Amino acid sequence: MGYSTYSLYIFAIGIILVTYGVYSSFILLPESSTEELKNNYRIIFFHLPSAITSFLAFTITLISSVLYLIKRKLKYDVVAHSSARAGFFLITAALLSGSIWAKVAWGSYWNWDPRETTVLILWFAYAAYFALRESLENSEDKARNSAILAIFAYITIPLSYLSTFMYFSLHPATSELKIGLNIGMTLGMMIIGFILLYISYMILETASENIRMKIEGAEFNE
Amino acid sequence: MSDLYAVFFASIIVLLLLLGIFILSYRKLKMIEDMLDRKV
Repeated sequence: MGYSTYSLYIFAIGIILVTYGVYSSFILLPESSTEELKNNYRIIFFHLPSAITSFLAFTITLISSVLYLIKRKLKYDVVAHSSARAGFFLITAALLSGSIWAKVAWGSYWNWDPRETTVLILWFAYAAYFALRESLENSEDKARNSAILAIFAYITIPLSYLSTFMYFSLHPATSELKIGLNIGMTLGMMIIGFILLYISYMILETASENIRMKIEGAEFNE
Repeated sequence: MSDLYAVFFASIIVLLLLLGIFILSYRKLKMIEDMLDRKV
């Protein structure tokens, strides 16, 4: 079985899980009994999976960047860059869905809450990663410099995760969330669905980049 | 903004951005196809 077939199967399972998750979050689950949450708690089914998957994607970027610096093989740079791109899209989704939730729950789109602020710093750190890559022509320079930047940018991930413990925050700590079985099941399904879609994207992206580099004559595995 | 509108907008934004990463992959595949056509 080829890479594209694996990717397609994983994509199909991911889409089924996410579709069921969307159906469950809008139709099956009842309103919250908590007055401030009512229907807006449903945003968690989109906000949390995108945040968790983006953290996973940035972790893969970190590991691949370190591996590139040790082994100097361009395939690690390809994985790091592809994963950072998925992570950047997903953290943007988490940031935007979070600010919509903040508007209905806290009254304002942006509150300079420690979690919001640290995620914004994270967003700028990875925006700088892409800007750096675009500014360099040579693929070796691009890979080396962006790998170093990716390692420093990763500091913002534990910083944003721990921000709710370190300072007073309106945002609840993820580890302290208390949720019921039905909500937990839907949330779990959405998280697994998002992760599967991310994996299928990574398989597709690295395989196609491999072909592109071979066409261009670069040694993908060297 | 009512609660349900907020949920609707947030979900649309998230799902579109999730779809966005696959659009990027699709564009890359089309680019590779063009490169292969030029080589042939």
